[in-house]
Amino acid sequence: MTTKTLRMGALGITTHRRTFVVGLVMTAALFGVFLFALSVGKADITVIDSLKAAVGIPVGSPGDFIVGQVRAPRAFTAILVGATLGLSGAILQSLTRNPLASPDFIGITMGAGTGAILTMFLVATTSLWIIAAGATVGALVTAAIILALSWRRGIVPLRLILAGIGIGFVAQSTTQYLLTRMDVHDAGTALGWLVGSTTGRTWTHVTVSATVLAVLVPIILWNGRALRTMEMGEDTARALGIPVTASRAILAVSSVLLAAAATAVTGPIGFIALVAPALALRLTRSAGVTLIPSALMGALLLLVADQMSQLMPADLQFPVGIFTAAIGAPYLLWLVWRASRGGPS
Amino acid sequence: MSRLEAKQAFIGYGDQPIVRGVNVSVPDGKITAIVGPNGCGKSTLLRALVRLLPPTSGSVILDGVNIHTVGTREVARRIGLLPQAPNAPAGITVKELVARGRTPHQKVLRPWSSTDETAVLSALHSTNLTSIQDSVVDELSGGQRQRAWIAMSLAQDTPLMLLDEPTTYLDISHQYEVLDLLHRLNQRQARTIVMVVHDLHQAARYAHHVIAMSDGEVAAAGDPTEVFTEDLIRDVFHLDARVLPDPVTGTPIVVPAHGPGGTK
Repeated sequence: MTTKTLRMGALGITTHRRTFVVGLVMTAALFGVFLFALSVGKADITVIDSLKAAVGIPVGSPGDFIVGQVRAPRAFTAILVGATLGLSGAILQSLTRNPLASPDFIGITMGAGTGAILTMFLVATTSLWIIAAGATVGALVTAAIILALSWRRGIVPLRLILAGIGIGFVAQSTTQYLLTRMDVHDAGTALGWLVGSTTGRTWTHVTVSATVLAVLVPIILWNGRALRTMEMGEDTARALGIPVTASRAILAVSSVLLAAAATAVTGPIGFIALVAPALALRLTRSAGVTLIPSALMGALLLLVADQMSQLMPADLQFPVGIFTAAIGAPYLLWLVWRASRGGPS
Repeated sequence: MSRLEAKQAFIGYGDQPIVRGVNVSVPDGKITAIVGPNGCGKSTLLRALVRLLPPTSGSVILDGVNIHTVGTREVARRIGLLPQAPNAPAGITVKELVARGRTPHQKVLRPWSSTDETAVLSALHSTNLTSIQDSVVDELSGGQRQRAWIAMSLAQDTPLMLLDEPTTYLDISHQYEVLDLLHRLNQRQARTIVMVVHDLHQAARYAHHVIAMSDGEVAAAGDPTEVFTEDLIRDVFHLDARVLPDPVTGTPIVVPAHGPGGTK
């Protein structure tokens, strides 16, 4: 086991050398795509100018607006929401020990969507913070219902997936119904949001995503060892001194909150939470959940998908959710194929 | 002397106690075997002894205090448990698995220490796994895998080790390999070992102390030669049997009296 220890005085973390290197490479790739996202587009702006404009230093050119108000918030949103989804999926998949358990598959994202639309319907607000709060309530209620339906002296993974898919449909129908009851103009706005997109995102969207991550990431990393140990089974984890009930509750709620925040900011974007943790696992060859690489992979995937959607000809500019589906659907089919052959999933 | 005891313990799920009012003392520095027919409550008792299940009444006492007043992590520094069917994360190597045994000694933001490394290396050494420490656990033989789990428990560095059917699913030579290992650990490192086993011959040969359970109660406890009598085998296992001395060690062997060539 070749390990790498990062130290600050007596504090430090030990990780596998391979995980560390993969993390570095993904960070570098993320930075590269980020620079591309800032500087390349209908108007090309130099890398230096776009970096300055992204952090608010005036460069006295159209870059101030194009990068400062359009490209930078959009790129940051994609990075933060991607990381949020990657983390949310990694936690859920680890807790349930099921590679299909991602918030968009087991109905939590749909529940967040219903919560957000209901908030728009009832409060007629455009404040992202209030919509995010509505999405959070929707996601938590959905998660509670799914848990109640799938609980038999513990989570039964297959019941969880099936209950989640069912509840997801109920949530979607509720959303559809709400749309028919809304004022046409509001319904149009809501519908645009429901597609799942990074277009037109502002610094407020960045602030909301960053705030949620800033609060939840320390809590999640603090419980990272508990998460990894719980993959060995409840009894083994307890016997190794993990307070299983408390850790599991904290992690499950964190995962749901992350999914809700991501949904509030960009609308429901599928497949990132499903695919990112699996890819991170494969790249790091880690035995068990790997949180930071999952977050980095989520960020990278969503940013790349967003760039791909922008590079398409104008009449083919689909929302980013379509591109994440293009990445995710083959992976899902592969998972199903592999499961049907009885191999390890 | 006994650091771990159950006193008038009723243990179970819901309102049906599986174990009913047992008094058990685990003798320090010895190997204790818990035997009994399927469903008699052996594993339930073991789970209660390591705080996985709270007794519905009565108590489990660890070092003189009720184990449920001791924190999860503190219990894990004193008692190690090897469950019946533990899950190895896919792709984990032997050394990584053994390193997980250090969990109760680690803290958030504290790096892997030389104490941790020493404990892991010594656990690998005592279980003869040093040469295959980088192999993936899923690809090992049953006996090697079980040794790897025992090594994880060793790295946990607890004075008490509890094992739930450590020899089940192993062929006969691997069963004895595991039992010899436990015997060595007990002799050389003075670890107190409690194991649930099915094979009475193995229990008699390897344990200093036997607890025979029947229908949720302790039918007999003590030295194997005192516990394994023809009367007890009939009462506990409903088996008509003869008890003979083991030609190698003199410890009791239980042989059924019926069947082909025996009484009808």
